[in-house]
Amino acid sequence: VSRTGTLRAAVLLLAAAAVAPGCGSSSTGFRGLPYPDPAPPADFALSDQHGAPFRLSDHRGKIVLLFFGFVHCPDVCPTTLATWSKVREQLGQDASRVAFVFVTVDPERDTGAALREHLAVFGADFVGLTGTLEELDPVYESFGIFHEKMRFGASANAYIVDHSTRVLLIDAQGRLRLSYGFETSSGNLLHDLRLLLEE
Amino acid sequence: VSGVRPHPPGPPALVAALALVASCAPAGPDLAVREAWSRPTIAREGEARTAPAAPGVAYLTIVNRGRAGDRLLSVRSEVCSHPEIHETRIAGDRASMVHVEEGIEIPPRGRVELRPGGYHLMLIGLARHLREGETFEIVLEFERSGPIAVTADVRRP
Repeated sequence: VSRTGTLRAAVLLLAAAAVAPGCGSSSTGFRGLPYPDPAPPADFALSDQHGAPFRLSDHRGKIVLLFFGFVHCPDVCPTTLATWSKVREQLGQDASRVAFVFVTVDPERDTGAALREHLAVFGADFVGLTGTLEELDPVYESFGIFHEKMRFGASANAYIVDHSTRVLLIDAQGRLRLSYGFETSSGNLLHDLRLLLEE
Repeated sequence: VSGVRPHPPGPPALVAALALVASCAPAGPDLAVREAWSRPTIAREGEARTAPAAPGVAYLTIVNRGRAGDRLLSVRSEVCSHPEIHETRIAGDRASMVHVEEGIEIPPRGRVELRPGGYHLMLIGLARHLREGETFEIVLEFERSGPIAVTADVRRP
């Protein structure tokens, strides 16, 4: 390799490093996908896994992570919840400034008890929300959440729900700020939470 | 019941010869199934002692060292009545689960990972709960290599 070749390679590397400081990072410094014009989403009120009311706007001042899934979900939901478990653990004391909120797309089976037992495995303070379809539908609509029941057998219980997989982040000012695709690593999520906790 | 009795052990030479033949079988030794694991199931109120209603899931890696391809056709396991090969497909933001009826192609000198968010074994009709630290057997049926048994660890990812 000639000297100019080596130099050129070094310059290219430096340029690349300047343009892309981190995997998937954007000009905002966040690893997640930023909403171009962050604004508070429509408020909602549902019931948590202990039967207590949960109103989104009551959680201003905290960062809220929202994920829509269901307890019988074999693959996608436990993967996301396991990532949240790691994030929660690595946040240490700062975890109290973040609400991890799992909203069901299967209210038929996801009673408070089902959510309570399921979420206890992943994080003692994770919030599981359910409600009637009349209560849930506007929430799905407001966040653009797709869900569709798919049967895989004859029995009434033999169905799964195809659903949206993005994790949505509402910042401490109550603005829908960032979103994360399925399989976002705990490291990338943690990176953004730490940046936001310093704001 | 007058079932088939096990054969008495043959002379050592015969056993050795059979072992040699087995090791030369065309595709069997070319496939290895590794890192099989399954998530613990969650006991719900009132059903702690019985079987869970929700399906279980298992993941593993298939490595093919051979020059010939193969195909995973089906699976069976002692822990459930109706295991199926599924694939989570994520298009845009939507995850949908597809029952992979045609099986999974295992390319020559290739590997296929069954992992979260992709191919997985859905354990429908679990006979019992799967608890962290336990193991159970899964038998994978391949087009060329025939059945290969693997032990899955029940653990958190």
